[in-house]
Amino acid sequence: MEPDVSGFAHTTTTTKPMNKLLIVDDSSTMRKIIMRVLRQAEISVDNILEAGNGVEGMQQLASNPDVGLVLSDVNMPEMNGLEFVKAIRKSHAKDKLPIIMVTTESGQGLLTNALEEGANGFVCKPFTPETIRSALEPFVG
Amino acid sequence: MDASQAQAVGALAEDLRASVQQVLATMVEGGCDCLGADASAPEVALHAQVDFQGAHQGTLSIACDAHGAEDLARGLLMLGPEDPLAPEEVADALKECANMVAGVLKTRAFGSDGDARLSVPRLQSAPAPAGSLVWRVRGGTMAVALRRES
Repeated sequence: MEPDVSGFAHTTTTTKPMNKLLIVDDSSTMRKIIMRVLRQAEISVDNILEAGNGVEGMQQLASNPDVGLVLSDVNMPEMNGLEFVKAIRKSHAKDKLPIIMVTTESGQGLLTNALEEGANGFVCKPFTPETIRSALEPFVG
Repeated sequence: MDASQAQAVGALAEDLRASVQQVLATMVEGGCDCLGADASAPEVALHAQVDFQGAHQGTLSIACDAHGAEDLARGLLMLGPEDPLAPEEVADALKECANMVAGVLKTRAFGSDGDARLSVPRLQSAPAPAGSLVWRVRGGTMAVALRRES
């Protein structure tokens, strides 16, 4: 099955109430934009954590085991988004954590790879609040 | 340049214009106007580049004058004119804008399965390339160009 790149999300992960969300992107601008768009999309999250790459993302997850959803860029230095997804899925405690990739890269090969590594959905940049809401709805209760 | 090469260059220029338009219209509060390729390029204060690597190689450049860079950042972050904005936030916003335009352009020009990978965006100290498409972003000016190597 080819992934739909316009906010695709598949729901193999059990949803649960979310109070912590982790945004992983090397651009502080994009992290702020995502936070703004989450508000515009009326997605309520108690606490939003940030990380600048996959390594920092793993540190955040280790310190915050109650994170309920991850939004991650793909093209990042140090540990990219695909490596980050793989690292999360290798961690037994994180095998059910929903991960949405937020990316400028919309190649079918890349998206298929990310799904195979364990990502649960995609949002392609540039995005609207509606796109974000559609992708996150299955996971935010 | 023969007719088919000219057609390909024209198509790529249109893809570039459409990609910038899509990013600015979707992500930048206040919108933008394309002034065309003949408009005078801005006096560059900030310049970001993203490389295409793989079968399709080249470099996307986005260069702004001081007003353009700040207005672009304020538009992306939905900040008012009085809201605080650090120089590093302006630089990061320009790099992210270049990253998004490159991603959209890659899909438009080379297809979703095209063999082109994007570099991490970087700042560059160079004038805007010749033949740039010039845009007005709020009160400032932005120039966008793509240099193909293959």
